[in-house]
Formats: sequence, structure tokens, C-alpha cells
Amino acid sequence: MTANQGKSTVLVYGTNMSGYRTIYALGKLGYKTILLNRGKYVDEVKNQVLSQLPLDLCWACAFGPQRMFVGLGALNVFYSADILEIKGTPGNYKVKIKKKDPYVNNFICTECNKCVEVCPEGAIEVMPKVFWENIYLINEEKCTKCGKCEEICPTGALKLDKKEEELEVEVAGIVLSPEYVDVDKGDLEKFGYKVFKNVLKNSDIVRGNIPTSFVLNSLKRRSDGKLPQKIAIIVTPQYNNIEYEDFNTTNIAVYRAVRIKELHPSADVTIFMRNYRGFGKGAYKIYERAKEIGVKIIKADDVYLNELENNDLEITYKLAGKQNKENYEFVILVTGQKAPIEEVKKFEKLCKIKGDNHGFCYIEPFTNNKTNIPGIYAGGEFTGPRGNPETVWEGYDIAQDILDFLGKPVVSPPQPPPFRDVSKEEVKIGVFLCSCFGKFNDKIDIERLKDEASKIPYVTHVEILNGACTPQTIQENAKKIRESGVNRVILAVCTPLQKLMKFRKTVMMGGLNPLLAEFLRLREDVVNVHEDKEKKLEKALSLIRAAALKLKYALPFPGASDKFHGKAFVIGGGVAGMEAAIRLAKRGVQVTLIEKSDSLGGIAYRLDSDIEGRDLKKFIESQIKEIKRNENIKVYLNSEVDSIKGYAGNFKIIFSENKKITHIEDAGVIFIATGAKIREVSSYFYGKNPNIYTQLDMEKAINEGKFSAKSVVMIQCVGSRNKAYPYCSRICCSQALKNALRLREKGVEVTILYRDLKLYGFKEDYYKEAVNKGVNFIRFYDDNYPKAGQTENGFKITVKEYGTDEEKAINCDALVLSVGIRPDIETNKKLSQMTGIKLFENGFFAISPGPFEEAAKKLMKPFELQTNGVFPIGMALSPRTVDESLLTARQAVGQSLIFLKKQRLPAPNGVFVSEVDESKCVGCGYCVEVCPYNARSIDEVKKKAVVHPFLCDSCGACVVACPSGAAFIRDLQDKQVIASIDALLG
Amino acid sequence: MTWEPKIVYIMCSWCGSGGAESASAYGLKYPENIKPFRVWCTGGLDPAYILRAFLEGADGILISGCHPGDCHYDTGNYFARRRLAALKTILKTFGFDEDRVWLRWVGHSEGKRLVDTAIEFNEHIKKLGPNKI
Amino acid sequence: MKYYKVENVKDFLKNLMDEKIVEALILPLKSYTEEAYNPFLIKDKSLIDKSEPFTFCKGINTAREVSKLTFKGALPFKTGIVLKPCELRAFRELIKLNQINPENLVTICCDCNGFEDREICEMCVDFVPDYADVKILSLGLEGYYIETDLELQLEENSGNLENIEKEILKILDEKRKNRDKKLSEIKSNLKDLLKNCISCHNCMRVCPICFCQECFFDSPALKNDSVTYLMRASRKNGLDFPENKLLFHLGRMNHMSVSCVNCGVCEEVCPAQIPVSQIFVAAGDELKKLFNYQPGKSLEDKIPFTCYQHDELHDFEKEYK
Repeated sequence: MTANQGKSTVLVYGTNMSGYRTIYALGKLGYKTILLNRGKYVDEVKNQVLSQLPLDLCWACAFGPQRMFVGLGALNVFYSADILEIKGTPGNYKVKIKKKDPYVNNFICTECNKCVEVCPEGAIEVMPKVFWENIYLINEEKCTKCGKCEEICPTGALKLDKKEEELEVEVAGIVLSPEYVDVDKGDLEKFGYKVFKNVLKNSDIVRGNIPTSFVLNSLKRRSDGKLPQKIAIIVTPQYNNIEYEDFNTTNIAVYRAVRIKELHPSADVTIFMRNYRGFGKGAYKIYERAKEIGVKIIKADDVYLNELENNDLEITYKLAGKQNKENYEFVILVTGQKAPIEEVKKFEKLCKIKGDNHGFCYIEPFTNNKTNIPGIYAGGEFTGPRGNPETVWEGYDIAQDILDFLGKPVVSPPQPPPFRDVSKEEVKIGVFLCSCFGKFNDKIDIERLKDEASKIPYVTHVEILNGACTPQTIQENAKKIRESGVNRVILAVCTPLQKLMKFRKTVMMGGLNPLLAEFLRLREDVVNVHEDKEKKLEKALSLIRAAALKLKYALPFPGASDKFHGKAFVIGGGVAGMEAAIRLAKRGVQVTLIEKSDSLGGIAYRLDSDIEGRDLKKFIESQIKEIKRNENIKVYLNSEVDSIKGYAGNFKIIFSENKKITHIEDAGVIFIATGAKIREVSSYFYGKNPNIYTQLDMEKAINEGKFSAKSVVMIQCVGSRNKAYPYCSRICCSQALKNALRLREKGVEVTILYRDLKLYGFKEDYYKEAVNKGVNFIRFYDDNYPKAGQTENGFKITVKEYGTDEEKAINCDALVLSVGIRPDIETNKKLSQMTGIKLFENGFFAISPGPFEEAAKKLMKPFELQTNGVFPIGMALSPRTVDESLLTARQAVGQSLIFLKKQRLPAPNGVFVSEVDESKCVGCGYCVEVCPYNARSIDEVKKKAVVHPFLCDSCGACVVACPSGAAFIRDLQDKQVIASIDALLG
Repeated sequence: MTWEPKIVYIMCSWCGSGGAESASAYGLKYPENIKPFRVWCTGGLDPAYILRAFLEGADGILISGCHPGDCHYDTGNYFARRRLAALKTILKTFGFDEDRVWLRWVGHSEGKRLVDTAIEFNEHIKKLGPNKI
Repeated sequence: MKYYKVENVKDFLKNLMDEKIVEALILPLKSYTEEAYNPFLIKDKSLIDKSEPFTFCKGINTAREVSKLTFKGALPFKTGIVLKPCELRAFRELIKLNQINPENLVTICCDCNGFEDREICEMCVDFVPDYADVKILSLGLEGYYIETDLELQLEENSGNLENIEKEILKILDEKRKNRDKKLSEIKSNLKDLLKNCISCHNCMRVCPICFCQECFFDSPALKNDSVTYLMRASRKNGLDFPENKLLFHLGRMNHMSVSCVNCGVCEEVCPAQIPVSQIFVAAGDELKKLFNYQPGKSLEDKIPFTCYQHDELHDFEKEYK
């Protein structure tokens, strides 16, 4: 620990997803952050997700934490900001920054457009498409500072006196998370980007037409507007030296091909890539599906583009040395990123961090985010080619590690004021119509609306509000609610999606439980989307009637909470399990770690070094030493779990040691780190001939001096990526290459037979090295594996070469099989049954239905606990390298720390939580099955469903599932919905 | 007075409503007789409500939520699809026009898609005429 | 799997009690009024003589009664339940729905060629006792064969079983024809069939799958205030009473027809003679096809509304062009 415990603020530079997630996690842990955004507005400088748009999801939530934590006072965002100087010591940095506040404060701006109308110079520009709001910017070149806009701005959001300023901030730690360096015209010259008309980047077509996302129109040729039939997708980083691809780039290409075929089934879609690099449990399935629906995949060595007269593209590609030509009508480039060389240089100067030899930020070995300077962290695409969800995980890693330098938490969520008891009062509804600072006045007859609304049953008070979202109007409106004496409130406003917290706050400050309020979207549902004023009035009235009936049946309630146990239980003592235990213990969490075998270390302990040449053994030994030394960690070897009862925050685990002694432990969270096993081999005479090895066997033989072969053939993907094991094990390619390089040093002939080489990012270097050192590579077809025959003094391997279809024969002394890993299916099945966390068919744990959900969404909600407070990590989750396994452990620690220190947790949405009417519940368990958060269980004694409030996000799935009407959420009770819909039907 | 269909547009509070907000932000227009009603998640939309609205004389019911895989609650829309498939199948078996109930996913930024959907559905219901139950 | 031949089912049931394979039985016995059979729980084996193991207790699906028996926990001793195949399906569906605790329960189920005056039996194509602990086979056979995994003190005999399949196929063929004919009749005027409903909700009350304490369609949520009634009346061109007839039937169907086992007790108790069960077959068959689900079969098959697939049912999503 460093000195100066008082500092509780972290500076985050840049808006990549790791930075955002650090802000989020630190905010939840009670720390303040300052975010420096180099852009003038929220997403002017795009991060990896927004540059690449990997899936056709909305991604709007990427900015979620910013809004929320600014609102809570935990986050301060500076725009047009940069770092000028960094002084001080870890834990006590003084950073000089420059910033320029935006002219228009987006948090107060109501988008009334009056400034645009009044500006004589046309200097005010509107940036649409940012989140779902418009952002108003002033073009400084055109602006004469006449001040008319400032004068007319009804909310005081626009202030012209903004200047660039410098200031010094004191922070305990610094996080460098600058954004993706995208490629553009010059970088993509080879592919004719922005020169040939029908060549577009994937991100151009995904959001080219933002109001609709990816539709057939997105695919129309830019030259003539025709829908192309023949489409090529090129994974450019595999053919372009300045680009780097992340693990997901080829998946993006495959995903795009599938989406095109879905929308446009008759299209002929071809993907050009050198190697398919999707690994892990789910990605390979998409690849298979693409092939199934007729997507062609050509693994070309190189591609060249030429534009023809009719704007078609002629693609010349090399396949195993041979040239081929084919014409396409439309070409989509799936691009990578450039190294952030400039940014790295800048920080080399500012704070002496190091760059790596590719121009990315250097990261210390066996860490995911530590730079060479203590207290300064780097994450996301700044540290190497990165995709989701790893970028997001890095945010949690940084948050849990940077605590070393931080003092006490200082931020806590504000407590609501006491609410008035309205239970004995008659229903009195107040309708408050926001005029949006007069903006609505000429769009709807708001005075008549007021008169008509007052005739609606139960409405006792109607009032027109000036505004409802500025600090001043919020105060005023709360007072108006109090003074009107109503006990139900309809607030007719713009959009509760964006401003929900403000409106809820207004009602709460008015002394009413938020369940007693309805927020009507006057702007979104009426004013802005229709033409006819008379009809608008009618529609607004029917919406008010519906809201009034809903409120008539409102049932206020104070909200629920539950206890949360502060201990952690770790199953499995491999690298991931040990790392989780060590990190938790470091933060004062009591950890119980059990290991099935008689020693710690797991599968990685059997490897000596990795391809980067780092000493794995030494690292694992240091982990083991720490585990044994740390008083917060209790270790049980030869132990297995017998039963797990309970739910997040309240687990009871029974396990037995040496099959004899039974222990019982309580825990708030459980980490499953059951790791993986080397897959059993049954093909290629393995076990019948001593000169056939797995990669691991061979390493052992080399180390023991028992390996004397002069020529070696390695076969990759043995027993992998097939029906039985439909995934890539992730580690074999690196292992094979590492061993090939070692053998070459001894002069051994090496041939590697492969389907795809999964060496994305920096690992590509080792491939090049291997080619230079004379390792022979031959690709074979996915469904045509090499055949091996035993000869007198070795083996004869025959293989049909991909592309040329030539049958090649290679003689060798030793045959080495890359066999990959498999999960510990038996143990995982048992644990899956005990915890309810689902397994994929292949035995890995499934923590979300798709690979991206966990990364991009639900930033505000307790989705850390979505898997019931059970965190599968390391290879229990999916095939991973050691670093990636460590990251899963560290990020899970980051997630769980948010809760482990709290004794009680409230429902995340406060009063909006699902409940059980016990008089109706018969304990059928329908609700338990459909709950996405494990927030429900059946009390077997009472035969009733029970809700665990802090796990519930009030989606209502249980309400629908419940045939008895016993499950309910208070703001959408059956009678409320039915009455409201009745009112809407009129 | 010309007949105007009574249409309830049920949308989830995330992507569906986001679509409505994008539509407003882009200033896109749709017919006034389409009245929105919000649930947290389409997975939290009890088909009984739709059925009742249908039997109580709604001319059409439109439902929009997040695209599959993009549900705010991860899985709600998958369950919603099953529930609605069941409801529509039952309506069809009984000889009702199940095409008075539409399910179309609308993403958060897809204001145009929402408005197009509202217009298309309104035209479709106008063609079918009033719901004579 | 072992086979035994028995001449008399009542003796066989007594034998089960003698061997302590079960200590109690639930089976149809003449009720106190001597007019009808009801399921009885008995511990005294002499009562077996008064039973009619294979009869159908009018208006009662035994599985529904068993669910009450085990609601507060498993039975403390082994109890045999004599069921018809449709009751067995209800029994298994209720296990999935957490309404029956199967511990200590031994299911004894016969194959079943249907009962007189039950139209639903004429269209039943699922009359073989799959999944029973003790299966009693008689169709196409002389006497009875017992098929079970239980160890019985009887001599094994699987002599004359090949006739079963032939007989079953014959019956199946006939029932399929009946079913298709019946269904096309029913489907031609489905809406009209419900016209005579008096909203007594008897069908729901006897249904083994309708296990709710209070039916949603009976609940206060659907009671309107007077203003709303008037509003509804003008919207709908007159409101007919009893109200919510269609809502009740379609809604109930939407809630539980995927789990409907077509036992037919609902239509047995309908005072308006509405063929409720057959209507449920008409709609339920479509749903079961849609979700590829057979209620009351494998306990591994999840009820369709508790699971989903990522890539399915796209016909129900309106395409956007």
C-alpha cells in the first residue's frame, strides 16, 4: 500500500470500453472518477465497438455508465480534454489537464432547436445519432458570438463563454484507455477503399442507415443502387501489414455473411481470409452454420482488387501459390486496427510508460492491465488488438487492482426523502404537463389539453409546467406536487428513457413513492410524431386516461432488500482459481479454496513456458506460495463438493476432504475454476507406437533428453472442431509453433499440417519466424485429415493440400498430434445441477445466451449477479490461454467485490421488484424456470415461490409464466394493464 | 367520420421504446390512432392481455421488443416469441384473423423501422376492416 | 424389463401388497352412493375385491387427486396408483409442474381401449402405458401381461407378446381415422361450439393441469368498474353476458393446452355439453406440433414456455423489408 489513503479518485483517459467499465466498477465500489474525453461530445472519438460494430446490436448502453455516474456525482467528464503533465507518485498523482466544456450542456438541453433558428450565421449544428439524443454543437469558425442563442435558450443549457482551460487534478491512479485507431482510405489503398465505388467497410454498411440498422438497403451498390448478387467479404488485416486483427475479426466476417444470407438468401457470398480464428465454445458454431447455408470461404494467401468498367470488382487471389480470378458486384471489408503509436509516444514522454515492439502499450507479464509504472493502468485496444467481451473484463480487472492505490470509498447512492403515507386517502391524481419551455405550445393546444384532462375521472389537479428536467424546474415541480395535495402524479414529459432518474427524483422530492407516478411521453408519443393537432390532443387525452386508471390501482411499497454473505468459495486450484483466491484475499475477503487433486497448479503447471518464452512454472509457483501464506485463504486438497444450497449472497456449501471429513461453509459468491483436461486421443496409432506424441508428451520427452527424431510432422486440430468437439481449444497452435521453433534450433525438420492457424494479433510474429526458419506449413481441408502410415523407420504422412488438391507425402521419424483440451464434463455437470448455471452441450459453462450480451449491456443493473453469484472462470468457461484465464478470474473478482463488502443489498430498481402473492402461489416453479437472473426459487417447505430482491430486475417474465397470477410487479399489475389497455381502446 | 382502426402498440421499455424515441428525434411521423403501451420486456407481456384486447374489440395489436440476442434482460424476447406463437396459433385454429397481431423486433436506434411498422400495420388493418368479434 | 403373466388383475394387486411392494393403493372403488366409481386410497387389501381397477371415474382425473395427497410432502410409504394412460400423462406432467411428489409412488397403468360414451376416447391415439412403473397389457392378448422393472415373486413369462403390436396398430389406425374425422368437424365451427357456455368454469375445476388456487380468468383483475362496462358495451356493439366466455376458454387454452393430456374429464362435467376436450385437442395438437412437445412423457422434456431456442419460430416474426 502506498501512502496517502485519502485519495479516492481515479483519472480515466479515453473512452474505450475498458475505461468505461473501470468507471462503472469504481463507481459501484464508491470511488470517484474523472473521464477525459478527447472528443467534443460523447462518442466523437469512436472506441473499438463503435468503430467495428461487430454485431448488429444497438450498443447504445456503451454510454450508460457515463450518464448514471455523472448523475450520482461519482463521475466528472471533461470534453475536448487532454493530459498535459503527470507529476507525483503512485497513489498521489498530480495531473495537469486541459479541457473545454461544451457550449451546450447536454444534460440540460431539451433540443428545442430555438438556438438553431435564431442563429444568423447558421453556426449551430446538430449531431444526431448519438445515443438517442441530438447533440448541439457550435461551429466556431462561423460563430460571431452575437449571443442571440444564449439569450433564447430557455434552460440556460447554452453558454458562449466556454474557453479552453487548464487545471490540475489530484488522483490516486491513472487509467489509459484511449480509443481504437481505425483504418481509412490510405491504409486500405490495397483494397481500393473510397476509390472503388462498391467497396465498403463493414461498419459503413451496418450503421450507414442508422434509423433502420442492417437491412437490404444497406447492401445496395453505391454505384447504381442495385442489389448485388455476388458479394465478397475480405478480412483485411490478414492481407495488410499495418492492421491488427483481434480474436473476433474473422467472426465478424462470418457473422456478416450469415446476416446477408438471412436477408438476401439468393446472394452468393464469399469470404476471403487466410485463417479462421474464432475459438472458444460458441464461435465455431457460427462458422459451421455459415458453411451450411452456402457461404463460401476461401482461405487465400493474398488478394488484390481491381475495379471494372461496370463498377464490379475483380478479385485476384493466391491459393497455395496459384493465381485465381473472380468478379464480384460488391465488396465488404472487415477491417482491423492500427497500433496507437502516437498515443503511446505521448505517454512515454508524460509518464515513462513503455511501448511494446508493435507500438501498443506495454503490459507487465502475467498481468492484463499493469503498465511498467505502478498506479498507471492501460486497457482495451490501447494494449493490443482487443475485442469484446475481453475489453470490458479488463475494466473490472483494472478496478480491482487499482484499489491498491486508493483510499476509502466516498460515494454512496443518495437516500430518498421519506414518502407520504397515502393509504388512507382517496385517489387524487395530479396531471402535470411539461411544455418543454414553451416548445410544445405551437405543436399541441396545451391549454385545451389542460382543460380536457381535468375532466378525467380521479384527476383533481392539472397544471402546465415550464420544464421538468433542469435542476431549477425539478425543484419547482417537486414543490408543486407537494402543494397540490395530490397522491398520484402523471408527469407528461419528453422521454423517461433518457431522463427517468430526474423525473423519479421530482416525484420522490414531492413526497411520493415512485410507484405512485406515471411518466407519459408527451413528446415521444404525441407531439413529435404526429401532424394533426386535433388528433394529437385526442391521443394525449387517451394516454392520460390510461395512465390515470393505472395509477388508480397503484400500490406503494418501500422496496425490499436481503442479506449478503461476505465470504467467497473457490472450486479448483489451477491458475484461474488461485488467482481469484489471491485477489479476493488481498481485499480482505475470506476465501475457501478446494482442489480435487492432491496439488495446486492445474493443467498449466504441466507446461514449462509459453510461446513468448515466459517462465510459467515460476509464476505458478509464486501463486502457490501466496495461497499457502495468506491467512485469508483456507485450502483443502483432495476435496470435492457434495452439495450447494442457497442463492447469490447466501450459499451453503458442503464438501468432503479425502472422501472422509465433511465441511460446511457459507459464502456469498462461488467461483467455479474446474479447468480442463487434455483430451484423450484414439486416432493415428496413438499409444501403439512410441514415436507418436501429443505436444505435451513431446515437451516432456525433450526436457528429459529422450527425444531424438530428426524429422517431425505435426497434425493440428486432431479430434477438434468436429461434431464431438465443435470448438477450437485455443492453445494448440501456439504450443505447436513454440515446439516447432525449438526443434528447428536443433536442426530438426518440421512440417505442420493445419486447417487454420489461430495466431491473431502479435502471435502472427511467431508464424513469420517459423516460416523464416524453415518450418514447412501445409493446409488441409476441414473434412480431409492427413493419413498416416507406419514405415520401417518412421511414418509416411499423406495429405491433400488445400487449394491445389495435390496429394503430398512426407516421411518423418516422429508424429506429433495437437489434441487440444476438453472441459471436466463430469464435475461441471454436477456443479451445474447444484448451482443451476447452465452448461453448453460441450460441457463448458454458459454464462449468457450469446457472446456479447455480457459485454455490452445492462450496465446499470446487478448483472454481475446474473449467474446467481456463481462465476465460472478460466477454462471452465471456455478454452483459453493462461493470460486469458487470469483475466476471467480477475474480472470476476472485480465484479464480486462490488457486492462482497455489503451486508445487505437492496433491489436494483428500488421499489420495482417482482413479488409473490402467497395466497395464490402453488409452487409450480414456472417462474423459476424463466427468470433470467435466478432471482426466484421455490421454498419446498411452504411450496411457495420466493423472490431474492437484489437479483430481480423486474422484467416480468415470472408474471407471464405464472398461470395463477401469484407473481406480480407493482407497476404492471394485471388490473392496471387491463384497465389501461381498455382506456386506450376507448 | 371515416373509420380509424383501434391499434395498441405494445413495446418494451428498452429497444421498443428506444425506437419510439429515435422516431421522435428524427421527426418521423405515424398515424395518431396507434396508441403505445409499455411493458418492461416483451417477455413480461402476458398474452392474456393481448387476447383480451383482441376480444374487446382492438382492431390490431402490434408488439415490438429488442431483436433476439439483444434483449435487455437477455432472454425475454425468446420467451415472448414462444408465447405469441402459441397465442397466434390458437387464434388461427379458432378461425380468428391472427394477422391482427404482429410481432416485429425494433432496435433502439431503429426509429424508421418503428414508424414504417406502424404505418404498414395501420394500412394492413385498414384493409382487413373492423374487428368484428 | 421383465414380463409376467397373470390371470386376474385384482389378485395381482393383492400380490403387490402381500409382497410389500406397495403398502397402499389408490384405485377406483364404488362410491358410498353405490352409483359411481371414485378413486379411493386404501390400505386394506380386502377392499380390492370391491374395486374396478380399469374403470374411469366420471369427472375425475386421479392425478389431480394425487397432487393433493402429496402437496405437503411425499407419502411416507410406498403407494400404488392405478391409472389410465391419460391419467398417467397428467401424473407425469404434474411432476414437472411440481404438483406431485413422485417419491414412494408406484404407478400401475393399463393399456386402454377407451370407455363407452366418451367421445374423447374414440379419438385417443395414446393408449399405451409408456413410462409406468408397472404396465398391465391386455390388448390383443388372452389374460394380462405385466411389464415392469420391479422384482416380483412371480414366474417370468413373455410368451405371447407379439400380438400386442399388431392389435395396437389396428386400434391406432381406427382411432386415427376417428380423430381426423372428429377434428375436421370440430374445427369447422369451433367458435360456435363455445356459444352455449354458461361460464360455470367446471371444466377448469376438474382439469388436472389447471392447478392454480385461483384461475386468472376468475380473478379480480378482470372485474371492471361500471364506467368501463358501459365503455366496453359501446365499443363492442353490445356486451353479451355472461361476459368473457371466449376470453376464458382461449385464455385457459393459451395457459395450459401445451400440457393438456386429453383426458376428457372437462367435457364430462360440462352442463352445456360443449366438447371442451376435443376443442383442446384441436388447438393443442397445433401447439404440440409447433413446439415439438408431448405432455406427460419424458420428464426431461421441458414445458415449452419454460425454454426456447435462439433460432426458431421466425414465421411469427413479421418480416421487415
